[in-house]
Amino acid sequence: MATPGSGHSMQPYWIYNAVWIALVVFTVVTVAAARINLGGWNVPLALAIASTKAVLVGLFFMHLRFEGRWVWGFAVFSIFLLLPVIAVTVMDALHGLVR
Amino acid sequence: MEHAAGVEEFPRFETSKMGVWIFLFSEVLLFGGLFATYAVFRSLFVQDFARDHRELDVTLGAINTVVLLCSSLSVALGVASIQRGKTRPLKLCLGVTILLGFVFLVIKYFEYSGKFAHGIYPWTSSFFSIYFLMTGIHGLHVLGGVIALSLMLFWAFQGRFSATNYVRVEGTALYWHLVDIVWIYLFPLLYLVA
Repeated sequence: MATPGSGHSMQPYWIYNAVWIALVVFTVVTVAAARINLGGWNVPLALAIASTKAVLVGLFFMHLRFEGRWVWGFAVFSIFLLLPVIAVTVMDALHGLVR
Repeated sequence: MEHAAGVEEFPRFETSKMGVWIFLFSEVLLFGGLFATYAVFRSLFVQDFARDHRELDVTLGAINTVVLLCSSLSVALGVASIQRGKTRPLKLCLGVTILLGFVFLVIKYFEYSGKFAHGIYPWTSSFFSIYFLMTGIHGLHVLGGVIALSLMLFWAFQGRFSATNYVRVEGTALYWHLVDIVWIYLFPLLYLVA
């Protein structure tokens, strides 16, 4: 049943519960990490934890791990379209500030 | 009709789900624009962000994060149930998910009204204009998700779903998970590290 791209992706119930526990643990970790002053590292750490949680939700709750190349293609494309847009926008704004 | 359904099921299932994914990617780009705005405002108004984000209640934000994580679990379990042809757990899971969506919105309502009571509005500072814009648009998505989930629950009670016919439930669940993922980023960026 669980062949990639079959559209009928079966996953045992315990995996959902285990992923949920991991998500709650990561939420506690991100709140705790924000209380420690890591200087410039607070934001990258928070984003790394958030991205880990997003990947867990995507792979297991949204069944991305069963999807074929089309859905993966769209996912990778939208993320790689998005990151440069955000990066370049911020660089442009900061450039205006420095000048 | 009955025997033809089996033949038609597979491509229709795939194309419907592909449509949902394309919609989700357009949503990613919408929120991506908002996150880009956040990044620009944050780099331009460093002091505003550092000062104003302390006004937000981290406890309420964290509770709402867990509420949405629970709702994502319940809707995922609902899909897993109907994949196995179990309609009673599907109804229960959809009901729990809708309830948790309402809990999220009620907590958000109390946060907003608390801010208004302290004279904090979207035009108070650059941080709060971004805060109200992003959480407001996210809140509208939660509301839309609750409406879609309610329709799914209604159809579940009509007996419309089965182990071979659940693509609408799955599509709604995918949308709900995306709304959860957006909050997963909003919570630390607005409440914790601004």
